[in-house]
Amino acid sequence: MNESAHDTRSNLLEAARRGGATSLIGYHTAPDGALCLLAPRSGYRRLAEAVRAAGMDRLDFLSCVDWGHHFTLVLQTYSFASGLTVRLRTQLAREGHEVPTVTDLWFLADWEERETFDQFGIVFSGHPDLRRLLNVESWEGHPLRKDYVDRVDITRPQYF
Amino acid sequence: MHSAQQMINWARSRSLWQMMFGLACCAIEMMATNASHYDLDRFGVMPRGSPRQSDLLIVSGTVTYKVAPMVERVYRQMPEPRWVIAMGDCATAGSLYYHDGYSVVKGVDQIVPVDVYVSGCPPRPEALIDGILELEWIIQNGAREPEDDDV
Amino acid sequence: MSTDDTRRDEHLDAAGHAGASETTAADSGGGAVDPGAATTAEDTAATAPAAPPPAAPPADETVGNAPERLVPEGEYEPPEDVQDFLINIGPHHPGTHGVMRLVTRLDGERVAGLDVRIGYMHRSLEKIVENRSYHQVIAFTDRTADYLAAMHNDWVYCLAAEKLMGIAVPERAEYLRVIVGEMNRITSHLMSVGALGLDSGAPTYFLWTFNAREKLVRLFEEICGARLTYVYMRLGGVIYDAPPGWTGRVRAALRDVLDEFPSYRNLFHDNYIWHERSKGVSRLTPEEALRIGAHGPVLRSTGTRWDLRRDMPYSIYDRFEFDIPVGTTGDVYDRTEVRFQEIIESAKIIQQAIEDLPEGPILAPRVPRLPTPAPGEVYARLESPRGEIGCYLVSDGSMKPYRMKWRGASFHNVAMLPALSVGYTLSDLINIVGTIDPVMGDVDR
Repeated sequence: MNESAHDTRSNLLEAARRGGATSLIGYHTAPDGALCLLAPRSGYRRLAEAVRAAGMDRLDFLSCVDWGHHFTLVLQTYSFASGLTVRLRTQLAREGHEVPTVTDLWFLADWEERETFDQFGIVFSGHPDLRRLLNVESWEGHPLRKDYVDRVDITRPQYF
Repeated sequence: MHSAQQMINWARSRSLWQMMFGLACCAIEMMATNASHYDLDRFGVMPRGSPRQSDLLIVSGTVTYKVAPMVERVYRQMPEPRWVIAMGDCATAGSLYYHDGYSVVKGVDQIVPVDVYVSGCPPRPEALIDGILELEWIIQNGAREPEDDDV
Repeated sequence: MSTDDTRRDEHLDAAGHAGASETTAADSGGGAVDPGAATTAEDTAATAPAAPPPAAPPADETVGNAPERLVPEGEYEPPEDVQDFLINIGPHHPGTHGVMRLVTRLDGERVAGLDVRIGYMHRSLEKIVENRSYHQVIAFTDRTADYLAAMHNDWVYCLAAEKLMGIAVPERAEYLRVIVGEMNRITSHLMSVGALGLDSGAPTYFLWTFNAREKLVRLFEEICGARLTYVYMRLGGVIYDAPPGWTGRVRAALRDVLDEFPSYRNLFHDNYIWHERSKGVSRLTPEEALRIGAHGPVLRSTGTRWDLRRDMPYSIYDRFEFDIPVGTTGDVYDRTEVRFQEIIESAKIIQQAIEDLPEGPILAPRVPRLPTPAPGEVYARLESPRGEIGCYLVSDGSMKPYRMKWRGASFHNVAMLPALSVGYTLSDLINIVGTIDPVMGDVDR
């Protein structure tokens, strides 16, 4: 990692730790060089703002992994100037948990959050226009969940 | 059939105007077939943008549940006589999205009646030309071209 | 060349368009341009632009942030009770970019608002992949994601999976990957500019560039048997070695393509109709581009010299000498120019790679048939012809990927469309979509 990435990384960790355990539970460096931060759901927005303020202005993706008894929301960003990649993670229950939106921090988060809502059912509070993106508007269910059952019969088309 | 009908069939088969319905990767090969190297124009096949001016619909690419109503609507807008070629494995039967593809219609023949299936992923331009020639035979003779190993 | 420019200047000045001084003031704000490095895109200061710079929205406009009228005052008086109306472009339209629905709110000819609806090519890539082995995924990534840059899509997945499993790729395979990857970049750009010409109403462009593309597509067929969806890159290398004489044929094909290159580039470059249609359309400053997260040729056309091959090098790209072409104003003309210049740069990389191509194995030894990597996650990113693509792979120790998130370049490019096209006319919108170069497989996955 080069100089500026080191500096950015330490600045970011400094800023994150200042919020205490309410905004950063833990961190580690992934084998591919990314700095992985774990935040509680209540501290997700604050940590996302700290990440953005540290210069991570490029959004890679915002998605979710279904781990059975919980979801993990993953937000990955990187920075032109320093080349540092930050992967921010937070854990959610399968039902009922809402997450604040980060559309005002990264422009591209708009569609990424819509897709995550479409595929997993996670509601992003404060999102300007949260509706299904990839599937048919009237689709039932959230396909990328592990317990999704494909109810469409392949011999009889029931597309609406 | 009488000679006037034969003449009409011959004329119809030699000037199939194609409705550009490119959906996915097969569309690129369809465009390559229309381009100058494989040149579909010498068969009388010309790509048209509007279904009102075309008599051949080449469905090239994967049909999803979201786009299926549009395929049907475009087909219904075409004036008769009209024919459909299902180009590629996805339009034939859903191809590799058959299992676990929750959003894919497993073959366009669930939506529109298909005359010729051209398989391949994507089919070579020569395969598409073969499919069009097969369709021309069908239009002229009312049945499919007998193969060598047909009894 | 200068006489052509003055003729063009006279023509444009007579029609009452703005002079050249406005351009230089507007586009010198690019802070990220390398000083002293020559921009290989055309100097827009030499030729007059066709549209005024985007002004701040006038206070009495009620239809979004449409800029000032292009038509001078007094020539067109809209009726008092003009209303804007909704027009639906797509999802099936004769444009060659696939199925995308643009719900456009128009004020006359001007786009006042745009809602992009996608999902018509959603082929459930990420769900399917959760039920396949790591090797089988490659057949999906090159069809279901961006199929015009299939090599790059396979490559980014292989980079991610190889990082996850700790597989080292042999040298010869790396060089072969670079060669076919850059050839694929050339075919993709040729297709892109050809389709752009077709959408703008000039089918000749399409026929010429497809003709050039055929020469390279044949070479793909020689090496891996497929013209479009290759499945050539595998975990640990590539699956087929180059047949004897293949590199010589690649050189000859590149020579042919580069010989013809001026002819189809000049269809854009010397064509004053294209200049009028494209210069000043959808201008983008570097700051605005960064704000909306632009990447790939769209970002480079604004003047920001950012390319993952040079700034975050992957594979063996740090061994090659090549330039990063940038534009100046970020408009439709510059984006097309950037793509043309990238063809030249890709040809340079291929020549260098062919010269240094070593002997050796093409596949890493002992890659298991059903790999079961240790639990973990990895992200790999790569510069595809459309921008930055990435693959986020999560493994839980079984023989199937637990989660694969595909970061598509076109997904984000299309998300930026409203920001790029509000205020421009409907025919400009088609051009803008063409220069964004979306492939709906990448958008919808």
